[in-house]
This record gives sequence, C-alpha cells and structure tokens, in this order.
Amino acid sequence: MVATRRCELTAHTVDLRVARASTSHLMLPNTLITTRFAARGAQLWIGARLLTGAVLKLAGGDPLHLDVSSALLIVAVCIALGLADVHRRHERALLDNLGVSPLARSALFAVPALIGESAVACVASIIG
Amino acid sequence: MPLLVADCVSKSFRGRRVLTSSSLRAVEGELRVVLGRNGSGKSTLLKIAAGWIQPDAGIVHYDGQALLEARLPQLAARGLFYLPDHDLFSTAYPVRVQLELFERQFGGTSVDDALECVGVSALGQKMPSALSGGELRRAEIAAIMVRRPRCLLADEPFRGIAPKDAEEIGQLLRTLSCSGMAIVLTGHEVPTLAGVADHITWCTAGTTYELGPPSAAMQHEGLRRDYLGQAPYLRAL
Repeated sequence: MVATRRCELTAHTVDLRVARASTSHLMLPNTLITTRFAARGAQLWIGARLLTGAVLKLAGGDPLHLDVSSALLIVAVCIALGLADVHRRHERALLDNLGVSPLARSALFAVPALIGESAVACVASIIG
Repeated sequence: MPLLVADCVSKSFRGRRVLTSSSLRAVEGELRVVLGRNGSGKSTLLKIAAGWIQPDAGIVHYDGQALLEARLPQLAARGLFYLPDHDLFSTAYPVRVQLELFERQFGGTSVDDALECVGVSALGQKMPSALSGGELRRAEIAAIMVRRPRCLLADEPFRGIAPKDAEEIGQLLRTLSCSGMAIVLTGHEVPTLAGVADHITWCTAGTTYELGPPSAAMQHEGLRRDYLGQAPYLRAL
C-alpha cells in the first residue's frame, strides 16, 4: 500500500541541523584531508626521488644535484602517480563529495614533492 | 522552486543514445524517486545532475543558478551529495576515518550517532573491503547522515540491503526530506520506494515522465505495462 506522507521522527532521533555549505564555488580541504593525502604525496616523492637517485648514481652522476627542470619533472611525476593512486583506490566519489576539486587534489600531491625538492636542493648547496 | 534541475539533457555513449531529452528535479522537502528499467538512463541522468559526467546537451541549474558545466566538487561545496551505485568510500582508510573527513569538512551529525542510526556502530574501524555489500551500503548511508546535505542524489541506495533494513533506511531518508533536504533516489525496490516517495519520475526510452505522487503513478498504464509488470506483490500498489 502506498503510504501517505510521513513526517514523524522514527526511533532514530536525528539532529536536523543543516550542515555547513560553502557559499562560494570552491572549498579548501580541511587539515584531516590535507594530512592524509599529503602524507601519501610525501611517500610517493620519497619513492620517486630514491629511484631517480639510484639511476643517477648508477649512471655516475650526482644524485643530489638536479637542475630545476628535472626537479619539476619529478614533481609532475609525483602528481601523476598520486592521481593514478586516487583512481586505483576509487577515491573520486569521496573527494568530489568532500568538495576537493581535481586542482586541489593535484596540489595535495605537488606540495610535498616541491618541499622535498627544495630541501634536497638546500642540502646539496650546503654540501657543495 | 526546485533546488536542482537537470533540464532537457541528452547523452550518448559511443554512438548509443542513452538520454534524448530528460529532466530531473530535486525539490527541498521532497523525496523523489526515478523508476525505470535497467539501461533506461536513470543512473546517467543522476550522474549528469550531480556533475559527475557532462551532458551532450542540456543544462543543470542549482540553487537558482544555471551551470553550463556543473562539476561535483563545486556542487558538493554548495550542499549537494551524490551517492553513486558503488564505490563511495576509498579502499585506503577505515570507514570511521572517512566519515570523520565529512564531519570535519561539513559538520553535520556526529560519526558515532550516524553509525548507530544505521546499525553499523561495530563496523566503523573496518576497511570498506571487509564489509559485506549490505553493510557497506549502510555505512554509505551513514555518510549521508554525517554530511547532512541540502540535496541528495542517491543511485540505488537500497541495493543489497534486506527488505526490513531498507524500510528503516527509507524512513530515515523520509525524515531527512521532512527536515528540508531535497532527495532523489533511484532503484527497483518499488514497494519500499513508493512507500517513502512524494513524487515518481519514470525514465524510459531516453526521456522522463513526471507521474506525480506514488498513488497516481502506480495507476499509470505505461508504467504498469513496461516496468511494474504483473508481479502479485505489486498489484496492491
């Protein structure tokens, strides 16, 4: 039988507050999202940097000294790997529903790599 | 006035036209249901309305604003929640952690209350891959509770859930719509869906028909002939 409209609260008494909604079109990821995904970005950068360093070492080069374009290439690789990882873990729906845009996702993987490359460049310049 | 309108949308996949001219409306305080046979374009229509995929033609309006290219992250920031037919949760984190992401980002119902509400309190620490289909769907309903959106588009929310549990969750969604949420559901669980719906939309042959309240919709000759069939339990509808 088709029920008529029922508006009474069920046994599950729920809080009927309206959740926050941004009035703008963009929403920044909160610190919990940022730390979770930036940690993954850092892991990816460490992996990519170790691999690059090993290849350079085997080729007789200096694993610490990279020019700017090579460092940026590593950052780009980290972003690509991070986005592929998001796809592999079926996280598009989660991140989209959290209001995290594809650009913000890329930034979550780019920032740890940029920080890491800057740190390595500093260390390399100190060592000489 | 509808909060969300997907107006006259069409969509083809690899030359196969799925939607020709379909429309979808989500109205605050109303629970609307889209019915239709497998492959009729219900999910595609919902995805277009949610900004998950882009239509070939047509437009999406949200909160009075026309959006030429609606994108889910932007709509989500303005209060929309899209529950896909599978894979809402990441495989990387336990359910509780993912619900906490919503709580921290939007501040709706607490995670503990939401998990208890849908009867999966004990499963919060588990990874989504460790849950059965029905448990996972309940956990995804908990995400709706935590998010507490202005507008919910849910693709087959009762998939894999036992009839009794589906009835409870249906009542929960009914309560949410009464609190002002605009809800659109799809599915094939006709008695459950008709029991909670305010309005039925029929999706067939690439277009949609607004059939009105369930009592009127269930008498619609075309819907009975092409979708409901003659199953004994449906005759009561």
